[in-house]
Amino acid sequence: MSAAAFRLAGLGFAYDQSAVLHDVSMEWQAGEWVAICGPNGAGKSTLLTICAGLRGGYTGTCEFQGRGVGRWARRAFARKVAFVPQTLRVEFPFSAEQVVLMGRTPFGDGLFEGEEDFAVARRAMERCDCMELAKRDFRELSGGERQRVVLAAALAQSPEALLLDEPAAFLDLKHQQRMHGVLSEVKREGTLVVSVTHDLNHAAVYADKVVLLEAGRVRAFGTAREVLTPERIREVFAVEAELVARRSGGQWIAYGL
Amino acid sequence: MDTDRGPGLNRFVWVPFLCLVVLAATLVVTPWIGSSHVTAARVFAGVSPDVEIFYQFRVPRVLLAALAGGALALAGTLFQALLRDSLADPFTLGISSGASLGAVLAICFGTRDGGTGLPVVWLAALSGAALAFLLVLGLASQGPRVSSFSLLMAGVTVNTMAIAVILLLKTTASNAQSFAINRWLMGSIDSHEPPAIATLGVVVLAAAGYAWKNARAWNLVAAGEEWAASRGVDTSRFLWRGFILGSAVAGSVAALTGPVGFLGLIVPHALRLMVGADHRLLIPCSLLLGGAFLAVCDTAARTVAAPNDIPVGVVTAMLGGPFFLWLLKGRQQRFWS
Amino acid sequence: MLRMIPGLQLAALLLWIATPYVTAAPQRVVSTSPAITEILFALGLGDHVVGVSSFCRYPEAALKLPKIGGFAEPNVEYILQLRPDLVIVQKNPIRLTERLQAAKLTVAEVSPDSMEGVHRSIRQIAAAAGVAGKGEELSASLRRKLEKIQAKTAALGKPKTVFIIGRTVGTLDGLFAAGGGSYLAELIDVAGGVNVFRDSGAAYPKVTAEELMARNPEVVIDMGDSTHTGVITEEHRVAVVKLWSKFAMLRAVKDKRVYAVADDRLVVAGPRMVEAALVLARILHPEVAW
Repeated sequence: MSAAAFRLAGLGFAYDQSAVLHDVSMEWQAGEWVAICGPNGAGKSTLLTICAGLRGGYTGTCEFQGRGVGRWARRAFARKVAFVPQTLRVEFPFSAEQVVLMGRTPFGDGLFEGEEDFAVARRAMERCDCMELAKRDFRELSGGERQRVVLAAALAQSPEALLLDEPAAFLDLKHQQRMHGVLSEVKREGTLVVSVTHDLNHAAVYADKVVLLEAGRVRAFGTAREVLTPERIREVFAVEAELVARRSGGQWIAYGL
Repeated sequence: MDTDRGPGLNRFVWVPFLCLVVLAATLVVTPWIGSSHVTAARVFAGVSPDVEIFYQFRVPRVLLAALAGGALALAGTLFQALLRDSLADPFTLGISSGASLGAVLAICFGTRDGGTGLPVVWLAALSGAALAFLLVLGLASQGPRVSSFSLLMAGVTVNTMAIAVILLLKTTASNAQSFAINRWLMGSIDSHEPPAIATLGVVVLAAAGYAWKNARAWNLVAAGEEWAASRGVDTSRFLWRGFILGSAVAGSVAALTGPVGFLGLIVPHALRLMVGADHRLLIPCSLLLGGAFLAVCDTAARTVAAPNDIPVGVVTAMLGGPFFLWLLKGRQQRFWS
Repeated sequence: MLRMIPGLQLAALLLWIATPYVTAAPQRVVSTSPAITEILFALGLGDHVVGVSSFCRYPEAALKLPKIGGFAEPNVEYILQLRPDLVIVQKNPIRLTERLQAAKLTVAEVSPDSMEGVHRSIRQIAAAAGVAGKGEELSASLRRKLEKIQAKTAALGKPKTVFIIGRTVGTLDGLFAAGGGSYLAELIDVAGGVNVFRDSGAAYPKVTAEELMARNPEVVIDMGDSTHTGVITEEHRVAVVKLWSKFAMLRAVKDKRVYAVADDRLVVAGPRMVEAALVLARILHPEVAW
């Protein structure tokens, strides 16, 4: 793939009159992990949902594989781009397995899933450590369990781009680590991973690129080392921060001192 | 997990088949039950009046009950998926009352049927359902989006307004008119016009087939609008089509039977507890079991107080109400345990 | 002369106090139902009626009188504004009588829902209006005429009859019929027919078509399409007969004895019950001169 996975140019979005996003321009490549960071209300989720094709009415350009996201046929887009919402609230008694299998919907025309669908869904559930939840009522799962199932559903879409809105929010430490491992793996397989996160260390440790948004504008875009400097963190998040060397070699951002 | 296709597919076969058996049994048995004494021997020997009672009244009535019940349960299933709210049904969305208002307007202001044979009341009821639906949707939509909360609120409002207008018309109606109006306040399976029943059958089966074909998309929409959109469903188009489909079904039923409540809530709800939320099962099963349920209710309605015909809506509410409460109770226990 | 004055004054005072109780005929009467209005006019009290219900269309003079609303929901304010000295109320569940009495009005409550109810109402209204004798007379005359009709039909055959009081216009759906114990059932009785739904406990039950088939009436009297006009056009009559042809196996349909009617006299149980009985008798027994 020569073209960038996502190309944003002069991307803007406004609710009524107030701008939520302003002049966002950048490219994300396949096989990258891009973390979107920023304080509350910076426009992180808006940016992500525009890329996921869930929000029209933006200005500027938002292209996936060279074509504007709004110009993709829905099903074709869903075969390439998967979106993981912050939470999924379901009114009806779908089992976890059914939720995961829903990820296979864009791939078949028939009324029933085929062998391949089951195999892909099963692998996705194994990766997300939620096989044992398969028969459970999705509504009765804990927040973390749901998050794992929803991630599995997104992986079942075998996406070329995986967009996640705070995927670690409800996960315990073990599953956070496990999920980040899975996402790293997915990334290595050539998938673009874009995640909105509040945890700067997750961004620093796992992401190849970090987008730092502030009040709808791109404050910085580059590697974590370039973007997440103590000065910027202080300016953007209004907290003191310092970089601590880790024994393993990387850096740790310590903040709230 | 059903990694092998076998067990998964089996379930999609035997569950609807079981429902079909229940419906078939109901259709075979209920025509023989009734207020007047009809024997099989006399019917098959063609003895009057048994043969006329059986073929001209009981069979069409049982068929209409099965169609109407199936259609109401189907419409309930579809509306609940579209709104992700298990309290949505043709009645709460104002469609049934709209149909009633249309019928009552025709009764009060329509010219007497001058032998044209045109079912003026049915046409008026159908238009009433369509108008009520458009009004509700218009009130609830903001641009291309429809909020389910405002849809339910608008439904309740349109309901109340329609009933208010009906009661207003009733205060000035003639004696005969007020009896005809009563019939549209309560709802009853007492139409004996084979063409109308056949038309309803075509509408309902076509709608059910169309919905079933897209059952996986219905699953996605039932899980969430964004969820569906990011899995390949053109949601705003799907929602519009879905609302039109559900309203056409609900309106066609209400045009013949008047408002029959509870069915659209109770059958889908009970089914979800029994077979889960998969619309590949819900759509055919609600059609089949809803039909069987209303056929049984209507048999009770036309039998228990014979020769009086109790409005079937009363029966569905009396049977359905306690059942519904029992289901809710069970759900609470599951939540809190 | 002067001495007599205190006595006169006392007498005048007593007379003034007693006036409401001894005044012979109320001068301003309000009626809340068509039956009451018809009874008042039949008793010759029409000139004193100052308000009627919006359903009162007979006699014609009643049409010009101020309306006080329907009999199920009359407007109490309108009634009070008419300053009646007597209100005759058709017994109903909204406790109208109590509400009017609380407003210091003289109220008589009647329930003309059967033939006996009509006789009773005539006597009650006549008594309240101070013309008790006239009431007895009217009641007795009605009784005589009805007995005459009954005597004439007694010797005749009794056709099985159904009286359709309401249905969905233009269809045979949603049939409501005259049940047992209704005024119409009594009329059918007097007119020499047998009401096929006389066993129904309800006055106007919704009935199944199946039961209608099973009971197989010889005469169908259909008021189901009737509006306020009370007139049957030939076109309407033909339409109703055509409608019933769908129930081809009914005796009445085979014998061409389906009749469309639209007649206030059949709906209002009142002093026109003799005429109402004659309307039915002509339908049920065309073989006799009426």
